[in-house]
Amino acid sequence: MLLPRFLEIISKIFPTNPLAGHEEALSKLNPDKIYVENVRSALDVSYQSAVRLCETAVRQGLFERGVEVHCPDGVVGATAADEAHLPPTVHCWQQDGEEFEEVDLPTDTLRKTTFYRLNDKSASVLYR
Amino acid sequence: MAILKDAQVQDVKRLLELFPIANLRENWPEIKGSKDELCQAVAEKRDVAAISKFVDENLTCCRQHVYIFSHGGDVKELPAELPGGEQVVNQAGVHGLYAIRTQYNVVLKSPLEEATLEFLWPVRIELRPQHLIIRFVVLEKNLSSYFDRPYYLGGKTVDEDTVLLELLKPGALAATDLHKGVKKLWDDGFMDSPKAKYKKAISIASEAMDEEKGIKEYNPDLYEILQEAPLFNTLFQIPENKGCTVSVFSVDPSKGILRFPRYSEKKGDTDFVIAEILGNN
Repeated sequence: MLLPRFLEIISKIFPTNPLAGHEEALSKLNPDKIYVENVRSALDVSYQSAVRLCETAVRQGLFERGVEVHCPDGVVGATAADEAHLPPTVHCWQQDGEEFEEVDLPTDTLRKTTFYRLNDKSASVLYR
Repeated sequence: MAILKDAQVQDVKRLLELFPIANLRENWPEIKGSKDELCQAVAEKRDVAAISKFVDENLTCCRQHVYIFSHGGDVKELPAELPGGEQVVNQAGVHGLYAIRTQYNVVLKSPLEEATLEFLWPVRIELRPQHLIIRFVVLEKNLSSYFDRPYYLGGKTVDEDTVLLELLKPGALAATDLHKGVKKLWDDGFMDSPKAKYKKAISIASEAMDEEKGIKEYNPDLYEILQEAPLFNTLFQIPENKGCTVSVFSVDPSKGILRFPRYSEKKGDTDFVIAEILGNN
């Protein structure tokens, strides 16, 4: 599991360990898809603190940042390392009554969310 | 076949436009041009027999809604006519093709003006020993090519409910519950679902997977729950390697309703999906 490594590494970065007592909640995060709200909730800190922690982890090479674009119903239509690499259009399913209808929507009109994932390589290097 | 014989060229053209261009080209290879030009040319020929045959043979490739009813052997023959329509093909009493004249009511904007648009709506009914299968081709809802300004789309003069109500009147039909067949095919890996709606003990829940990932493959815990749960309208995708050109369909299992939102390339592939579900039901 990558997350126990993350816990140990992040503990070394911060002088006072912000993770103490939250290990179990953090270990339940999906290392491939970590949202700021997941971290905020697991650590019971403010949104800004959670962003800072995630961005610090990116700078330290522990996290990779990603962006996902949402269809109108909230489902993720595509993900990429950054907005520039998202496809120009996204395939979405919409429901009109009981009918599923497919549409290709321009990415720049849709909501995007930043997420993080544990950087497998950096985590294992740092862990050694 | 009076309904086709007496139809305006534009009505027949709209009927043909419901079909995939590949099927139209295959049937009339001598006519070149765009889909619009091809449909216009075929409609102008007014060869009713050829058009009926084409519609009957290619209807299974269209975007369509399919209703499956059980009749327990009580239904012995196809209906002679449907509300607003008539039978144009009868294949040995096993299946009938019907054309229904229906009309969209439209309100044009800027300036406001009422308008109508008529369609010859193809419907096919298949009589099987235990089931009656009714297929409605999905009519185009985007009518922007028919009007030169924005519009509000109203209802149709004859819709699926009108037809079903008439067919259900004698009381011999009951919606076929498709849960068993659908879940068997899902479990066999014939298909997977990126969007499911299901009943929990005291609520209704739905799951929509990111990037159209399949629930069975990516969310096995939920899949286990769904195998036991009553499903509502649920979307399924069929992988390409199954050799079926129906790539996606939705099913409302307890209502016996299947919806095919895309054209399928091969004739008979929607039949195949229906047969697989019923065969495992």
